[in-house]
Amino acid sequence: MQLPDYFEFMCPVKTGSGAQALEHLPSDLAALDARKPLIITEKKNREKGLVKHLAQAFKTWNLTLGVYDGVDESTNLETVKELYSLYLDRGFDCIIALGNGNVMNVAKLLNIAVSGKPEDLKRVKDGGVLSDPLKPLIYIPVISGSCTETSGDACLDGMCVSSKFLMPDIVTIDPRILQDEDPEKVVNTGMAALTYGIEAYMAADANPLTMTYAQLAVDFVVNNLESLVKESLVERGSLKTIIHEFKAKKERTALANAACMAGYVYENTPRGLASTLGAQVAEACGIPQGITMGILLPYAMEVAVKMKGMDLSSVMRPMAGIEIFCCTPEGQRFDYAVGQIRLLQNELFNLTAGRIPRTLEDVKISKKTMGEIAAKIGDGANGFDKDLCLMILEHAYDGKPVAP
Amino acid sequence: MILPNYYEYCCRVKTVAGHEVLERVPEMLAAMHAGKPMIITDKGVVAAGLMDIVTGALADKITIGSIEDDVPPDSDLRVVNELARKYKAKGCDSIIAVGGGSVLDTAKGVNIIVSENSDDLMKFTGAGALKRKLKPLVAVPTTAGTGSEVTLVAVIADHEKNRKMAFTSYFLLPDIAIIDSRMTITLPDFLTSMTGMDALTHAIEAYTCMSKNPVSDACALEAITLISQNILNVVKNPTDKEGRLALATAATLAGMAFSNSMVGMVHTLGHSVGAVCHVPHGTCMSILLPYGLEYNMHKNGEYTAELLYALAGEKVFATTPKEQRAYKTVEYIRNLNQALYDATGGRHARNLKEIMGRDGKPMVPANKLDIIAKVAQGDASIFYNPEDLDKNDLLMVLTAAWEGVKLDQNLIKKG
Repeated sequence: MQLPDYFEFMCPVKTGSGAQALEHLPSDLAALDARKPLIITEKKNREKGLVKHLAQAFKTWNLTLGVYDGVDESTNLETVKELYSLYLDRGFDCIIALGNGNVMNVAKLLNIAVSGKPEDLKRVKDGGVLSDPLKPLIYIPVISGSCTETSGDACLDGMCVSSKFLMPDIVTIDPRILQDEDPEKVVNTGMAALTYGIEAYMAADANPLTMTYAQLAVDFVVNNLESLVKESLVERGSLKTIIHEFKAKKERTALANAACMAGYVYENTPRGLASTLGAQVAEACGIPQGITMGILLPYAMEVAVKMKGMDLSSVMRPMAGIEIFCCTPEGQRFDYAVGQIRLLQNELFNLTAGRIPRTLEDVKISKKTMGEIAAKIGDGANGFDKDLCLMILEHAYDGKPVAP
Repeated sequence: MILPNYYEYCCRVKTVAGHEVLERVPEMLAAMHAGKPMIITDKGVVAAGLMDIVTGALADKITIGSIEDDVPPDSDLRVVNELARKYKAKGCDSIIAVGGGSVLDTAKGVNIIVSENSDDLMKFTGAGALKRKLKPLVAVPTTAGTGSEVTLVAVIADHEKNRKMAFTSYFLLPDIAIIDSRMTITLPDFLTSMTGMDALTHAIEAYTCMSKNPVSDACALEAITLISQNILNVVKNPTDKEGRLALATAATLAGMAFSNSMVGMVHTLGHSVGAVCHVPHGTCMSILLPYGLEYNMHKNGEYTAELLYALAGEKVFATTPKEQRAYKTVEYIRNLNQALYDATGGRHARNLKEIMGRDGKPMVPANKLDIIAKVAQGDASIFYNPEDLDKNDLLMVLTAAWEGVKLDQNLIKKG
């Protein structure tokens, strides 16, 4: 690979994943000089016994754990204010976010408030930047999530901030904590991770450091997603459940790894056409954005290769493994990679009886909306061309590959 | 990629790489609220003209608090204390370490003292004694080999008390690693080959030994590919700055890989040859690497086989029968050592007996092998090697590496 003339990479996260991962947390916290964590989670996670699992891991360490389980869909900045007082009054010194989405958003914003001055949150909200590392933040995924949990982005109550200092210090992926979820959510995560992973290959400053995590994200998604969706469709209570659950645990762990790694990649890579257009389509159609990004991904890849002359043949390697990759003639590798993504999407459509869309037609977007999105994204501000955007959207609507 | 039962991976260092990266150091320091760094380096770096590049890149944008170029190759407590005193006296607020392992270890030691405001480094030895962030530390490697810009360990000797102090903490990781192709462009051919093979060994042992994990594997494969594609060409064409950047990036990736997965018997033996005979680390690595792979072949041959892809490329991998790939990997490394020997006019040694000192005498006489084997038994890395090694095994491997002959497979005890 030809290295760019200049590139940067940073991932300040320590990732621990696998059996008994939670039991490693107390010593990891001690290494950060933290001993009184505030656990932030949702009520349903507490009811499922997840907090108990976590408390068990800390048992022999004789530490005081605080638990706030009031995060839900309606959580807003008022919650952050309440937690701010709680954190300081009770002398907590780190945050454990046990959960995805809003749990992590609250945790990140709270961490801004408790790490510096209370007015920092408002300053950052008004466009100010964070200039110092924050207090320790630990992320424990419960489901695979949106991938941005491990990035520096936080959005809550209409307030969106972004800083590398918002990335967690520790990510702990424990199969005991990972929950079964709806196929649509599983696919949303998988496709988001796949998109962020492959967009790293397409970035102008693509480099071997970003590629380490990007290739793993691609590998874990392509080799686990379909099977995990199948597992999630198995009827509960059947005799097969135990065997399925064992297999599903492994696949959930792999997908959670993919999501976390995709977040690290996301933080180090500019957004590409698939994720940018995908986010707009998702917003317009009320569909999870991982799914719409995934629909657009093969077309964005084809544009990069067939119209811009980019070499994306190496995307095949994490999908197929070294053995098959090496014996596939070079000229066929990109077709394999892009074909693999389409095959996966078609199979997911089939498995869910059409619940998971394959094309923008399945999404039921109007041609007019597509035109508006192309005009908005292709206004030159992101360096994207309007006609190219529209062409990708139209091809993705018809499910028609982009010709050279 | 199969996920292991449990793994962890961490490299918190911000890596910034390119052809003109040093120019960005002032703004990076400013982002960490620092603007008066102490530069720690050694005479070799100064003599190679590298300090001129560093100061030229920084000078008009920042106040350099002090330039200290007295770090000896085996830096010790006295040097650390003296530099810490100067740091305080000159009102520095950060450290830029320009050099190899010894310079960086010294800088880490100085950083502990000035950040903790202590005069007793001993208090912070062992794992986890540091509890908070230290002063900003920027590492500028000049050898493309050790990977110490991304490791969380520092070893500092106390010559007066005849002991070595080891420090392990995530807080010892530099904040930023600057990989600038200008820093290695003047490295002589034999040092380029030696340090490049050091990095290759880090990556290969990380990939084939017992604590491997998916992320360290990915780092290792990227590193191996970059090294094999560039090392010979850079040795022959030292001013190839693209190749220099690739090798330096690879060394950092290899450092990330091995510091998250441990190394095995190549390091066990290499440390010991280095300790007993004062042979440079990279030389030991390049000679011993094929032997480590041969010895462990029955345990980790499948991983060694996969390396053929990264080393020799897809065509060679695809056209080599599966059962022969691991052997071909070893053969590839031996051939690479031979090619580097030829390209450096014989200065890149292929076996232990042809390593010559500055006085022209062999550095590893045959009668030292026994003591080397004995020392190796006490090296911690022996526990991470896939196959067990007792003293006879170590001696058997050393003897073959001394002669430069392949290991006799019949002599390997397969446990």
